[in-house]
Amino acid sequence: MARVAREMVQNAGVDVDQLVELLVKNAAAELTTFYYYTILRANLIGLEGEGVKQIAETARIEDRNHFEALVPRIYELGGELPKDMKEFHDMSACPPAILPDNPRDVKAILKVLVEAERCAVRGYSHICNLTAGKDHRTYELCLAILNEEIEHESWFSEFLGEGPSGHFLRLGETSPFVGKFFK
Amino acid sequence: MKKFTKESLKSYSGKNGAPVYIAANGKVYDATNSFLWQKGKHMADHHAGQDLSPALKRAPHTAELLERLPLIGLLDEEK
Ligand code: HEM
Repeated sequence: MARVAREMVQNAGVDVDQLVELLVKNAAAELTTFYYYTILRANLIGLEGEGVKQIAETARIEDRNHFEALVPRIYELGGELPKDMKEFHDMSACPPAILPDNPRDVKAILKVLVEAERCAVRGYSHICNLTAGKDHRTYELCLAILNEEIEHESWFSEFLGEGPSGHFLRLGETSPFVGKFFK
Repeated sequence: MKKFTKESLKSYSGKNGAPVYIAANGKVYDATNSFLWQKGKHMADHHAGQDLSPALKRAPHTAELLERLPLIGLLDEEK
């Protein structure tokens, strides 16, 4: 634990235990999403599905990166991951992104993907609001993650045709915002 | 529709296997089967069995998400 780092956050008026719990819940959401997206990606096949596969894969890898980036901050603040992975799964800040009943329904898969990203956008916006001007390191980390989650939401939403598209697929390396926290 | 008071709502906190009921804006919802309200706790901060209208104002979502849950009653906000 980084004792003074935790003290600074506490002294700034943040409920550190609650913040750590939220960080662990969001780390659980990232790792379980990485798992569930693996299944979604495997089912994105055929003329429609193959077109979506690459963004699902980029989101999957970036979500795993978010997990990697969150873990050090959890331990710095005096938290820890549960020993039991079943417990970790069930405490996720977002519901499981389960494969739809009809796995050939690409639109239904896209809806699962966009809902998962929307949940993440809500979660990190909240942590940014809690930490802004108080816990600079958690804020910067969660803002970086939020930037990537918003892009993921946009990709899936645009594939669903919810509005005009302002985005391209990721060019260059994955995690352009979060990369510095885990490299 | 069933009527609840703040007092009667308290026994639906999700503790010790009790059902998980949450109230906001005068309506009572059943969150027992919600993944995000397990054991009556939501996002490290919110507890079932009470009127959460003030807390909802600080949430990163509106009351629209409550419509995902079964509406089971009305809260008498006076008592
Ligand atoms: C700081 C406060 C809160 C945070 C950070 C928070 C966060 C979230 C998040 C991230 C979701 C998932 C959204 C999605 O799927 O896109 C959610 C869902 C939900 N929240 Fe909250 N929330 C907060 C407060 C509240 C309060 C006060 C209530 C009750 C009045 C509430 C009721 C719900 C309900 C009913 C759902 C949907 C559950 C389901 O789909 O099973 N939330 N919340």
